[in-house]
Amino acid sequence: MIAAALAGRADRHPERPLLRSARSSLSFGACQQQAGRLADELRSWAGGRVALAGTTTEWLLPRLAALDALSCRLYLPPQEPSAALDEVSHRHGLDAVLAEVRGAPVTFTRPPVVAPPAAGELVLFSSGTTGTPKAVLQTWPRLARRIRTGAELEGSCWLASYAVTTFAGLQVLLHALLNGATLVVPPSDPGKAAALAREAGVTHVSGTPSFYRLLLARAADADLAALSLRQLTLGGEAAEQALLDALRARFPQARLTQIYASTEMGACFSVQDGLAGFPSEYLRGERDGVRLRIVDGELYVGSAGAMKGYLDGAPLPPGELHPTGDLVGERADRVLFVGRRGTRINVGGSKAQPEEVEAVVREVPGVLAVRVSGAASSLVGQLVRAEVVLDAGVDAAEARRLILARCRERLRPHMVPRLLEFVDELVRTGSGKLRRGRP
Amino acid sequence: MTRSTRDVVLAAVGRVCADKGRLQRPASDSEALGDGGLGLDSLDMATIVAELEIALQRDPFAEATPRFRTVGDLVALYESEDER
Repeated sequence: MIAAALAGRADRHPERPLLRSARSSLSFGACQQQAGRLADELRSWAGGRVALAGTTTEWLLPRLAALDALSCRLYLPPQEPSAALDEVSHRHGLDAVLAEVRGAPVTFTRPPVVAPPAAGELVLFSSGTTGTPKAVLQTWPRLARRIRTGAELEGSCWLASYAVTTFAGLQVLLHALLNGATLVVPPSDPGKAAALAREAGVTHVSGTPSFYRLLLARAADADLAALSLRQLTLGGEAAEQALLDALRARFPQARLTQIYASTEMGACFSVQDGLAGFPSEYLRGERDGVRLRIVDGELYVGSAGAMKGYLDGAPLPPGELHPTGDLVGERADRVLFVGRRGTRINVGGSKAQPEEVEAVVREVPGVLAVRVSGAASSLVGQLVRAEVVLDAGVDAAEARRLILARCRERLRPHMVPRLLEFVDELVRTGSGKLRRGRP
Repeated sequence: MTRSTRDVVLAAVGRVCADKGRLQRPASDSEALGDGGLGLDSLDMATIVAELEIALQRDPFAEATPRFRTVGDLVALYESEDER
């Protein structure tokens, strides 16, 4: 699918940029040429089980197209830990690994431990926000199920903050390839992304709430004001109303779209009304092949775009309801996200949801980002710990006083952060989400 | 100069009291930590113990449930671990 889309577009407009970053630029034609050369070199891998692991989009894109052209069964492991890559090779008996950090291709001669994917299938990895990433069997047609094409998207320019080998990254890549759009890869500091976006003429931005918070807080005012955006897409984490309001005020002309999607369940639905959560009516019946239900406070999804199953688990029958791990509550005809299952902190038997505490801490002036987690306590099981990134120049002692005062006022006593640390930055996953569960 | 165990424990008690808006002076050894003294609750105590585990790399409550009532008792608990 990637190879065919790239070849078609490279024929029509070889000079148009497919990729821009702070370092380099790659046209549709040049990417296609590179992919062609690579496919020649890697001919012997045709149809094989191949893992592609890298961090640089300009390195990944031609290889993704080449391996796709060779009908390889692709594994796209998480980019960060190389240990995860070794784990993948061991468990799945890969034929080959193409990894950016290792340079030369590596081939294996080991029988597979689990059944390999069939033609048209690929293996993605869940974001691993709260634990070890899980291998997810997806298919190209399911990934492309909700990709929009149209004249208004032709030649658009997308700031894509997701790693291209993640579910969200592939969604943005497919959008770009099928619409002849340019992908702009932002630098790791979202504050510097606005200058690049301005220079490149970005029209669409796609990122997590964590990405947008940093973009708004750190980018130069002149750069943000100079952007003429048609669409802002948020996904991967729950967006709070304050962030949606801030984006609406900053970019009044842009459409604000919240997407609910996951590696396991595919792209499920989107909301465009600028309000946090989604309408309760989505819980009734079926919309575009997607059913949503609340079971015991958790959102369950049945979707035509869902995975075929975890690679080493039982297949997921098409459309069957599957727990998402997202805890939700209903208020006034709206379903609101409360947090993730498994991140709940147990303080002497009283429960605290990290996201609820984070929302309060984030209200304090001078707080740029916050992550709340449970710290082990020999006396009460767990205590609430908050790691906080402050704006430059903010006094930590004063911030500490304000944060504690606000939390005491707004939260029950066991939910008030007991351990408060000020840090320079918080770790995000390849898909741009705040990493949770492993402090 | 490295701070003594006693200073570290007293600083942790003082910080938790200050966060609660109580006690603007150093605590004395004879003062009760809970009711009738500094008024610290179980979460406050857990916070002190967690902070001291970070600062002193030890937790006397990890494998035992030692009894303590006053500030002096708490200091003694951590100091007794010094001697091991």
